[in-house]
Amino acid sequence: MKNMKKLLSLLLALVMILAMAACGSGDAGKESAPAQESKSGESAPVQGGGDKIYDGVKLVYWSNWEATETQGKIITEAVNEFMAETGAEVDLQFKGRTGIKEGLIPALDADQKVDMFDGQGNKSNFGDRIVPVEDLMAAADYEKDGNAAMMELCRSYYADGKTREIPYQMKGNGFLYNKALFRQAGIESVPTNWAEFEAVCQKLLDAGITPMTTDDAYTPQAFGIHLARMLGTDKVKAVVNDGLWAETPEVLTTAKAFEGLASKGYFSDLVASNAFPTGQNTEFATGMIGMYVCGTWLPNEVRNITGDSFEWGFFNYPEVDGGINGTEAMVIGCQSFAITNKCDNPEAAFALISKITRGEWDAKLAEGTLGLPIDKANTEWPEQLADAKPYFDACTEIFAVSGGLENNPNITPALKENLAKLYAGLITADQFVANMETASQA
Amino acid sequence: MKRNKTMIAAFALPASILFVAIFVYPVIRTVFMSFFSIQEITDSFSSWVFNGIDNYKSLMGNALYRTSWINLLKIFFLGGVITLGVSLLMAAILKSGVKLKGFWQAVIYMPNIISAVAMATMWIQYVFNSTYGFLHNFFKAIGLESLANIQWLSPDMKFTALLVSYCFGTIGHYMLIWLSGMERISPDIYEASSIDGASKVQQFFYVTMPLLRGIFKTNLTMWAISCSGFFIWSKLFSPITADTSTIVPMIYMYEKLFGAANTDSVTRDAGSAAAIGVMLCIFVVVMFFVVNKTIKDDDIEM
Repeated sequence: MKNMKKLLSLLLALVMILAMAACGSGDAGKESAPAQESKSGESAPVQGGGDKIYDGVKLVYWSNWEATETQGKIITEAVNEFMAETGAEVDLQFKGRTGIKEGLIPALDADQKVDMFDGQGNKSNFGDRIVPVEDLMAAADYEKDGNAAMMELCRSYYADGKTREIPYQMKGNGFLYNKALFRQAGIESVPTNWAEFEAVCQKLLDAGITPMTTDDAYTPQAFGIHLARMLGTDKVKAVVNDGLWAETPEVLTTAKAFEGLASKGYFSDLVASNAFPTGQNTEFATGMIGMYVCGTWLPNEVRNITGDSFEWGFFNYPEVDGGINGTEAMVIGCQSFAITNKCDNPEAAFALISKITRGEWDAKLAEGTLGLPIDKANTEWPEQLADAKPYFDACTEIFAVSGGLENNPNITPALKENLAKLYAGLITADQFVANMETASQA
Repeated sequence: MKRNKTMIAAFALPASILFVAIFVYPVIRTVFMSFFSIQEITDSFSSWVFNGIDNYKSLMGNALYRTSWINLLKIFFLGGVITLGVSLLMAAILKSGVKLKGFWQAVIYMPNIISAVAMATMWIQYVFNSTYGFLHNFFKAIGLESLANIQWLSPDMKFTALLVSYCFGTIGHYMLIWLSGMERISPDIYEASSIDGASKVQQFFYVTMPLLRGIFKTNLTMWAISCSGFFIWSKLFSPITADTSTIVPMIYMYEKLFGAANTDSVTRDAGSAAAIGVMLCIFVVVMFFVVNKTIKDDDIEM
């Protein structure tokens, strides 16, 4: 019995030691690229000593992708090549979207060494935790190959007009459509104005095809862009922030346009109950629906459902009667890189960013993710998004997300609910305006 | 035995230090933060701006935040009745001598060992889906078209769908606690009541129920705690941006702390998030006191 107790005690002690060792050796990183062998948290050594330009330099790079995503795989390859070429040691850690959102600022504030990171465009909330990159870009003449509109967008996030972020993986919003269904309905060209758009919907319906659907998370997109066509994105933001639903006649006009679409049966019967991503996955990607208002990331997101045979088309939101802008205005945005104030060697970080966002690796990212390249020299866009290129090239006015309609997170839930009901024909345009006015005043 | 105070202090000190560092300090800091305007949770104290109870006033003046509390209270009361009621019924059935008791116990408890993410996805995609979901197919198969056409995830039905699926997943947990309480009741009491002519139903209401008061208190307190932390299910029913029908204070707190999705510029408000945390804590404490004041468990001896 005594021996048994001793044995048990030993086993317990062993388990505790192992558990503590497992906890202690946990790296801050969620997943690390296979090539890296470094530990985060060490200060970067000074450059020099070897044959290569960044021998001895160590960078910690947090990515908002997952290691298993296509973006993650391509970035890993690019980083490996960068390390081989420059001699730098890169600790690439895949944190995922929430990892960056929730963990990066606390990590930087706790003096954790993170030199660079990527993520959703507009990093203005990082404040002085990220550094301006204007000088680095100027020294490398980086901008000459970039997309001017994206650079302008990235600068617009900062009061001093100096960008702290470097764009890549462009994206834009508009109508993604199924070309095979359009052909089946006898539609030969995409609509450029509202009358043509309604005619397209009717042709699809006549051919037995439900013209469009959406998901709960994306309900504000079509309505918001429509309203931004009439008012411009700044006034749309004023409507949602100041509660000017009843005071702005264009809101009712837009609501009536969608009430009309609903009454004619242009929306899927399931539009009110499509909890993201049900609509995009089970209705649009399966070829049951003609159109879906979303972003250019959609072909990549549903590629496992559509396979290669799906014929993707894209057109910008059509011009509307009484509107103040046309298809030269659209919702575009990007992912971006930033260099933190913890970085001892911004030149090396910028070199890695340049490698990923220019030339071969930018093209590989676009090709692999069915995304949009940021390097002007990469003129070949993925076939699925080739239709979007003319709109991007002609874009002179950038709308905010959903035309600015999602600018007030306190109102977005009520907006989503009432738009779902409007699209499903459960409420009228007048009820929509009244409901939103009530929601804003409450 | 003579007490060695030094030894007591030496043994108590590490645990006390850890307790203060891990529990007491964060609570005090959160309460303190709730009276300041703070952007990031890790902002230095020098950047905090004292604003009294403005965070609380601003939150209570916000319709969406009030909606989140209404949803939470609906989950607490409606969900509480469903979960505690059904789990008590299940426990009573299992205690009544039903065959394969262990098997049924395991089946009812099983949802608790499955991740909430998997459970919610299963409900959303395979039960409530209006095209191929179980409810749609089942009602269609038995010819009840009107029930088959219910859009469970539409704005008007989403809360019901959320509540039903959440309760389903938690019933097994509470059932086990009820069952453990029932096992403690002496068979002699049932035997005596049988001799006195009590039926099974009468035994349940006049013997089992009064003797489960302590367990009822425990279950109610635990239900309040689990409701105050309601987050994952709501997040999965509205994955990108919140819905009016499913938003709860924890979701609102998350959006305040880390910024909402789909907006052009991310705005964060750690001060308000701290105030929400304090209010949730007060909710649990109030529920605890109400339960303790209203339900007495020490007047019956087992």
